[in-house]
Amino acid sequence: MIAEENQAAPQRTTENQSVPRPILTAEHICLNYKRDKEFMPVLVDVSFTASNDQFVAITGPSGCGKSSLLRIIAGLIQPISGVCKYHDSPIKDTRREIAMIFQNFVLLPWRTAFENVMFPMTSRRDISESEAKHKCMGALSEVGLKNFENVYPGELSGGMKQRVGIARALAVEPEILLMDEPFNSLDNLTADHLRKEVYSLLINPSTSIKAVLMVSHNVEEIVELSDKVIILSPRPGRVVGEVEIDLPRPRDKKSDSFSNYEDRIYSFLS
Amino acid sequence: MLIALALSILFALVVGIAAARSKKAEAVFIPTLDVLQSIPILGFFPIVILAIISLFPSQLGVNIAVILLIFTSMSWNIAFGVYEAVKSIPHEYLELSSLAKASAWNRIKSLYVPASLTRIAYNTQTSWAVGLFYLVASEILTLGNSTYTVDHGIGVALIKFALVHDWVSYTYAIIALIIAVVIWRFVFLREFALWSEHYKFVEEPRNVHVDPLMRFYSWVNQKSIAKLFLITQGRGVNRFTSTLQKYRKTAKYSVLAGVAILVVLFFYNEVAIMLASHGGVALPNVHPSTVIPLEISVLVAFAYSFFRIWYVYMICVAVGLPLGIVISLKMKLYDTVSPVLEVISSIPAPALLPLIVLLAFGSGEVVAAIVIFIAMIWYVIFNVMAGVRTLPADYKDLARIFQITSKHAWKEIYIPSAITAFVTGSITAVGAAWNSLIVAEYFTTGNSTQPLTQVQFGIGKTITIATNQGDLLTLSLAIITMTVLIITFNLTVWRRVYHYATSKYTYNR
Repeated sequence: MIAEENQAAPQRTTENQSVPRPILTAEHICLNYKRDKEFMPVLVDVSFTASNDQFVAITGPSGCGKSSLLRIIAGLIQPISGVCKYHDSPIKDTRREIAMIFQNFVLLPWRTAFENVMFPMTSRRDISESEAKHKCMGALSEVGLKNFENVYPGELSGGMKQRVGIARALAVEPEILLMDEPFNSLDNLTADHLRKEVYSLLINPSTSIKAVLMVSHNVEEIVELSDKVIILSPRPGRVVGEVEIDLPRPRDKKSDSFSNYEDRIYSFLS
Repeated sequence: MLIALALSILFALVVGIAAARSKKAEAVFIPTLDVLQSIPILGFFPIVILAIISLFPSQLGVNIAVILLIFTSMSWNIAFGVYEAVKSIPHEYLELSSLAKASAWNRIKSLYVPASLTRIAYNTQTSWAVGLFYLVASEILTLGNSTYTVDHGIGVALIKFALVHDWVSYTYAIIALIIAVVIWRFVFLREFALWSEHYKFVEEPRNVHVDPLMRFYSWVNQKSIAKLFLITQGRGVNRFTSTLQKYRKTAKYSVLAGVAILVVLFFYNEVAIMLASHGGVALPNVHPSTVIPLEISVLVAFAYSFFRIWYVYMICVAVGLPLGIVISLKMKLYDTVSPVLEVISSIPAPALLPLIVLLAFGSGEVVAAIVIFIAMIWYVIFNVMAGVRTLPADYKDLARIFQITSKHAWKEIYIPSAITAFVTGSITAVGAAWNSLIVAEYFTTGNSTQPLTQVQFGIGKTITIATNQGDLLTLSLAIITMTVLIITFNLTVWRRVYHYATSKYTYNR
């Protein structure tokens, strides 16, 4: 059952304009996992939407299937039933408009930072090399790695590696960015630093990105970054809660309203 | 075989533990093992047989010789495994045993031995295959003017059947061999490996497909080859070793190699004298006029073998690298094909020799190439497979998400991921190739004077003929030349290649 909660702030005017069509929808997704000839359900009837300029977080206890859900959205795996739609067309396979950032960075150790960012471009025919180079250098600049093009991943810190991952995703100019526990492999200080930059990096007028989906189990980071939170139950994962976060940015982690949101999300998780 | 295995494990435990726990022992043992491991078994195969048989001229002697040879083929590998295992014991456990004032025996029993078990199990698997090769090859030995055969053995049986063209019995014998090997491998060795999994320190991250065989190849080979280049602390290639350190290591090696050669020479001398007095073997005539032309012919033979091994290696790479990658990338293919490969790789090449000769229409060169190929290919394929299998699944996802073309994915992801494993596999494969020469280049059965197969020139042939004729001078020259050249090659070329591969192509997590 989907429980919808809306913050009823006293001064907020209810908007009556028509809700724009969501960019991404998940409709009744079900997924099974096969193990030793038995089928274990991993996701059951998961549905949600993501709209323009929305930062959506997907959370839940370990093993609830959130990473699998992300991979279904990416087109890497197919659900048993239900469908994900990108602008109303079903996602059957990976596509250019949907890019991903990985928990473990997944950089090529034998390539420099620049070459890593260029990697997706090298397979494309529709872009000239100089244009591709331009985009990649731009992306590296945006993530703050302007002078690090010729450095190898082995020489980069965790935070920098993830920035390369972000640059790589930005360079292909996707519409939807998926992030799989992106700050999980970083130490606290680095993660904090990167989180502060991430929102403005991703959702701003100059990027092509229209929606971000982030899988995370860190409630604080979720409240800090997201507009909407989808909460899944322990395995098999069902949607047990959906919270819209209506706080102005930059968000003050110490404010009461921030803590209230954290509490609400925790209440779904327990 | 079992006696040799037991001896190997015992030896390995003693040496490995000593080396891991005592700095002094480590400084001596590890380089020695390195050098010993580089010396192709081919090098002392004949001389050891000669020596032992002259000491125990009877069935006992032959059996002892065979056991000893198999022991030498297996023990270095297992010893390195033990060393590596004991060195990797997290220091907390060592502290625990000191705090508990555990006696040496206690520590050995409850800490060192269990820690080593996985490595021993995995190393046993490779070593077993190698041992089998020599078992079959050594069951028939021709020496001087006498022939020594083991009364009961599969090698003997196979050759006998082939000689009388009794192909039916031959086929039965091969099938029996395959069944025996399969049962042994899959039942005993696998169980041993899986059981030893209990004795691990680290919790395995939830891995869907824990495949002991694959981890064995990737772990063991990589680690023991790393020892080959004497890496400090056994933790892997340090990219930033200072040049001074490098020179110091080379110096240590050359000294050791020099000492080894002197020891060998001394040993040969003693053996020669011993043989001269016991059996009809002539004392070598060590005179420059005889030595120099012989040495030249040895070098020529070596050159032929060198090129032979390298062209077969090229074929192995062309076949093994793509095949290994393709098989590992698709789960279904991997699951069906790899057990088959395991079975086929268990059949030792000497067993198939008569069949190969038939297929090659008697061309010695082709036979040699096929035998060498068989000896090499499994190391290449299995190591490549292990390398690709350890590629995190995320990389395949990466290729799909960012729409990387197949060609690019191969060039940028799959082939580089296989490179370190491929280099490791190549080093082992070439080592195995050298060892296979003693069978590949010249093989005779006891009964006939005509060899079953031979090439025109080759060091394996030179050595075998010299052994058969009791020509100690040629034999010593050949062995020493070969050993020196191979060790030099290992230290110069392979070390550089391995260093390059691991520093550029390993994952930094």
